[in-house]
Amino acid sequence: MTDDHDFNEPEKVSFTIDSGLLFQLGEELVARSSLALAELVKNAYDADATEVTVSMLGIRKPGGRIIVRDNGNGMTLDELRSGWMRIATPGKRTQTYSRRFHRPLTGAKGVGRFAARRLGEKLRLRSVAEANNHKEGLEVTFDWTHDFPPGKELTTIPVLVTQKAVPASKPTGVVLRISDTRDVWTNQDLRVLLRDLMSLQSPFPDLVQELQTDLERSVRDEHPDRINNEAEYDPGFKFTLKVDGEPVVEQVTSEVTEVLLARAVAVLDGEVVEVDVSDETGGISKVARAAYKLTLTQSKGKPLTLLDEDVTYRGLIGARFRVYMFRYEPDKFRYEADAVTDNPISLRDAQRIGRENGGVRIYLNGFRVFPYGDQGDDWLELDQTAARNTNFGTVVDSGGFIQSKIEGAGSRAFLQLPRNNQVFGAVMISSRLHPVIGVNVSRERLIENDAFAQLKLLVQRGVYWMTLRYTAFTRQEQEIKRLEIKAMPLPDVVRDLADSIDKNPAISAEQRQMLVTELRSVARRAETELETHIGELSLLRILASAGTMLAIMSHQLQVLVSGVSHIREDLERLRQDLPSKHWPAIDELLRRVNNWQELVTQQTGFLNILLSPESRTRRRRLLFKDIVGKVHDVLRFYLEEYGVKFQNFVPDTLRTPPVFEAELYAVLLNLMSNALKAVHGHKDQRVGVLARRDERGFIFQVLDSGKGLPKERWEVVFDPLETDSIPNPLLGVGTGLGLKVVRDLVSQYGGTARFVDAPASWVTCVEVFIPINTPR
Amino acid sequence: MTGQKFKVFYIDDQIDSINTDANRIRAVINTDSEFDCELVPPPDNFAKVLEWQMDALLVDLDLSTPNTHGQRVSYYGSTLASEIRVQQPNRPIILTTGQAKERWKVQVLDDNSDADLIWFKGEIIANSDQFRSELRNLILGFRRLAEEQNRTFEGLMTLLGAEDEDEKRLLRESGLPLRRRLKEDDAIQETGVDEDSGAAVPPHSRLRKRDEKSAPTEWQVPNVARWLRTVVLEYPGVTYDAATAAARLGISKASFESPEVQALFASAMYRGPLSEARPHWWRGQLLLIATDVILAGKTHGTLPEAFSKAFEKVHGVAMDPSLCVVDGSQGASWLCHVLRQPVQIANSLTYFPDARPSVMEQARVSFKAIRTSPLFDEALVDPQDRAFVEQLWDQDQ
Repeated sequence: MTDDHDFNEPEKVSFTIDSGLLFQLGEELVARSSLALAELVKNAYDADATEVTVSMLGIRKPGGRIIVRDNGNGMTLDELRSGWMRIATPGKRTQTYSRRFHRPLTGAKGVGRFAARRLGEKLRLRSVAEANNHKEGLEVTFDWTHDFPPGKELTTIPVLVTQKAVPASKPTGVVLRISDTRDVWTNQDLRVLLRDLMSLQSPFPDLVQELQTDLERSVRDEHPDRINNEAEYDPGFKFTLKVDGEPVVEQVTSEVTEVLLARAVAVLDGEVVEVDVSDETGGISKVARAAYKLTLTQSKGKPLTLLDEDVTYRGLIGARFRVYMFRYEPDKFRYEADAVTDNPISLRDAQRIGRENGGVRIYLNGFRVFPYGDQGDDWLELDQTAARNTNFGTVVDSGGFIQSKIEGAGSRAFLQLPRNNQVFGAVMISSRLHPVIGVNVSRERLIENDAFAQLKLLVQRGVYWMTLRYTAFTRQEQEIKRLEIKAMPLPDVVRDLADSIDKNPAISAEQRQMLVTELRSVARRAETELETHIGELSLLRILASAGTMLAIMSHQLQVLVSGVSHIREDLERLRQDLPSKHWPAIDELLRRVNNWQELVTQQTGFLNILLSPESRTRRRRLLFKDIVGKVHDVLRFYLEEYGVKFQNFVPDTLRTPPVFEAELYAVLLNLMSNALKAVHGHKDQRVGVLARRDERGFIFQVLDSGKGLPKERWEVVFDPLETDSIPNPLLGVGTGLGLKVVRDLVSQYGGTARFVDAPASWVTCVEVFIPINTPR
Repeated sequence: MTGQKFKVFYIDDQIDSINTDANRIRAVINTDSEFDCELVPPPDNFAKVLEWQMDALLVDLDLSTPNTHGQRVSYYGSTLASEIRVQQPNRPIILTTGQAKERWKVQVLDDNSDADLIWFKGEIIANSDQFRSELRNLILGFRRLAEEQNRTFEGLMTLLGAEDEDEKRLLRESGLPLRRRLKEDDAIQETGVDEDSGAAVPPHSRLRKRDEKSAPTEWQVPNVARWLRTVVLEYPGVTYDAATAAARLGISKASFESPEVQALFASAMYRGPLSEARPHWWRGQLLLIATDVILAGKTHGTLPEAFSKAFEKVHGVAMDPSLCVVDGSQGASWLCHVLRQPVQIANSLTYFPDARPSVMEQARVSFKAIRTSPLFDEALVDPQDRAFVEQLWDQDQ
C-alpha cells in the first residue's frame, strides 16, 4: 500500500445478525442438553416461582416434547420485548435479585432463550403476568427451523405475539412448550439432568445453608442498602421431573452427612472481614483480611484462630468457606456403640465417599458453580501439589507469614497437605456482595480474573495453615507416645503410672487425659507382648502333645507316603495289561490306594494347622463342630480300622471363646486318643463329643463307652506321668503327660478339665470348661 | 480355531517313562482333539526357545531329574518361564508342580513368577476338563490380544468392548497395566554409564532415567491378560459374573440364565479376550438395560425390587426372585463372598478378603456365613464390625 492511492468517499456499513446466531449461541453457550434444561429451571427460580414442573414426552427419540411449567411472575409484553427478545440484554446485570422474594438471581447472562433453541425446533411460550392491576396473558411461537433459517437477517424476522386479558383468578407463570426436540434422551442423559439439577443443591445442605445464612446476615447488617426490605417471605422452590407422564422418583440422598463430617480431624472456617489497620502516617484505614478459625477435633482445647495480615482480599468481604479435613485411618472411623443400625460409615465407605464427593465446592448465591469440587477438578491445586511433593507454602505463603505462626510442625509438614479426597468444603460467594466475581458465559466456571485468584488464595492459605497446625498437633501427640513406649514397663506398672497421672492436679486436664489415654494404650501393647510369650510357652506344650499325633502319623505315613503314588501308577499300568475280568479287583485296590492318599493329605493338613504360626498366635472364636470334625478326620483311619463309632453332637453354630486353634486341637486330640485307647478291645466301641454354652462359659465333654476310670483316680490321672491307658497297637503306650497337658492348656484360659459322671449310655466323660471372658 | 490344533509344549524332566505324570498330563490334554500336546525335555540352551512354534507352554517347576545321559539342567521351571515370557510374550505359560510340600513356593510364585497359571499335576489329572477349558481360554485370549495392533488405552477399550464412559474410567482406575513406551535408543541400552557421574548403572536404572513422561503409553499382552483375569473378571465392579448380575437384578441365578433374560442382556455380555471360560457382563451396560426395562414397565422401587416386576410386564415372563441366604427375603441384591449366595445388604457386613482395587465393589459376608462357616474369618471384617460379629455369635450360643 502506498500513499499516492486515491480513496472514494467513505461508505456507511453496519453489523448485521444472521439468524443462525441463535442456534450457534444455543449450541455453544450451553454445552449439554441437560444443562440447557437446567437453565430453564433456573429461569423459573429467578422469576420467583415456587414450583416448576418439567414434563418430557416422547423424548426417547428426536421429535419429542419438553414442557417447563412454572408459577412465577410471568412476563408482560414489555418484558418480552425488552428482555426475552433482545439479545445480550443487560437486565440481569443491573437487577441482581428477584423482585418478589428477593432471590439472588442465578441465570445471569440470558442464556435461557438460547437453551430453549438448543433443546428443540419449536417453542411456544405462554405467560400470565401482573400488569397495571390486571392480569395479562400472552402467547408467542417460535418455529426456529422454518422462521429463523441461517442466512436470514435476524432483526427482520417478525414474531407474532398474541396478547389477551385473563381473569384475575388465573395464576401467574410461564409455560414453555418445546416441541420437535433435537436430542435423544437416554436414561444416562436423564441421570445427568437429575444430577445437574440436584447438584444445584448442596451435598451437605446444612453446611451450605449455614454459610448462606451467614452471608445473608452479613449483607443485611453491613450493606442494608442492598436489601429490598419489601421482599416477601420466600416459601421455597420445588422441582418435579416427569418423563412420559410418570414422576421420576430419584433417590438422591447425600452421603456427606453429619455422620461423616463428625469424623473430620480438623474443621477450618474462613471469612473475609474488614479490619482497621494503621498506616505509616498513623491513620486508620479499612482493609479486607482473612480470618480463619480451626477446630482440631482430637484436641480438647479451644479453636485456634488466625488473622491473616499478609494478604488483602479486595472485593471479597463477606466471602466465607468451611473445609473439613479427613485422615482415612482406622481409628478415625469407629462405629458408635449402637451404630449397627445407624448406618455408620466404615473406613472403606469414607474413603469411597471421599473419592467421589471430596473437594471444595463453590456456591454462588447458594447455587453450585461447576466444576469446582467435582471429581477430577483440582482448582485449589491440592492433588497436584501433593502428587509432586512440592511445598505448598512456596506457592501460597511465599512471605512466610503463616509458617511464622506455627511451631513444631517440622520442616516437611507440607507433605501432610490433604488431597481433594481428604477435604469436604464449600465456599460461599454472592453476586451482590462480590460483583468482582463473574460467571463464565459457558455457565460452568467462574471467570478466572484477579478476584477469582484471590478467592482461591483465601482457601489455599487457610488449608495450608490447617495443614501445618494439624501436623504440629499430631507430632506433639506422637512425641508423647514415643517417650512412653521407650520406657515401657510391665502392663501393671504402666497402669499404675497412668492412674497416678490421672490423679495429678498439677497437669492440665487436657494433657492429663491425653497422657492417660496414651499410657493405657501402652499397657495394652505390653499385654500383647506378654501374650506372645505365652504363645511360645504353649508351643512347648503342643510339641509334647504332638508326640501322640506323630505316633499315629508315623505308622500311617511310613506305609503310605513313600509308595502310595507309585502303587497307584503300577496298578493303573497293570490294569491295562490284564484281561477285563480282573478289572473290578484292580479298581477296588485303586479305590483303597486313593483313600490312603486322601488320608495322608488330611494328616499332613492337620499337622500344618497344628504347627502353623497363625494357629498359635491368633486367638479366634472357632466353630467347635468343625474343629471336632477335623480331629475326627485325622483319626478316621484308626476309627474305621478298629470299628469305633464316632459321634459329633456339637451344635452347628456353637463357637468357642477366643482360643489358639492349635491349643484346642491339642486338647481334643489328647482327650480323643485317650478315649480311643479306653474303648480298644471292647464290644461297644463308641466315642463322642458334646458341647454347649451357658452363662459362665463354654463346656465340652469327650465321652467314651470304654473300660471306665474309678472315681478315686479322676484327679490323680492329671498328675504328670500318671496313666491308666492300656497299650494300644496303633496309639502306643500312654506317656502320662496327655491329661496334664490338657489341664495346663485349659488353665491358660482360666478354665478347668476334669472327669465327671458320664451321661446315660456312656461310661467315661472328661469335661472341659473355658470361661467366656478368657484372660488375655 | 481354524482347523489347526492348539499346539502345547510341555517341558518336563521326567518324560522318558510312560508312567510319569508328564505323560499322563499329555494324555489328558490330548483327550480333546483340539489340542496337540508334545513333551519336550528342558533345553540346555535358552536360545532354542525362540524356535518353538507353539500356542501355549506348560513347564514343570522342578527340572532337577537327570536325563538318560545323566545330565540335568541347572535352572527351575520358573526361570525358563521368565525367559520364554521375554522371548515369546504372546504365548500363555502354565507352571506345573507335583509336590505338595512346595505349596508355599506356589504362593510366592503365584505373586511373582511370569507364569499365567500354576497347577498341581495331580489336580490337572483329576480336573482335566476344567484344566483344558482354562488352557483353551488362555490360548484364545492371548491370541486376540496379540492380534490387536492398537496398543493404546483406546485400542484396548475397543478390543474389550467397553462402550460406557464409566466403564472406561473404572477400567483405567483398576490398575490397568499401561507402560510408557521406550524410545528406540532406550531399547538398545542394555548396560550403560551414568552420563552425570560416569558410574556404571544397571539397565533398569538406565531405562528409568531415560523414560520420558511425554512418551506414549502402551500395553503388553501378558500384562493385560493377567489384569483381565485377576482384576477385571475376578472382582465385581466393572463386570459381573452370572451370580452377581442375578443378585444385582434381584432375580435368581436360574432366572438370569433363562433364555429370555439372556437375550435381553446379550448386548451387555463381555466378549473381549479371555471371555471363553466363564461368562461376564459389563456392569454399566447391564444396569442401563435393566433401567430401560424398569422405565418401560413403569414400575417403582429400587432396582432389585422393580426389575423383575418390570420384566414380567414388558416380556410376559415371571422371574424367580433372589432369596436372601439369611432370612429368605426377596430381592437380595448382594452376594455373600463366602457362601456365594444372594444376601440382603442389611443381613451382611463389608468383608475384605482380597486386595481388590478400590474401584471394584466391596465384598460382603452374610450373617449366615459368619455364624456357620469355618471359612469365615473375622479378621477380614471392618474392625468396627467385629463387636457386631461377636454379638451374632453370642446370639447362637
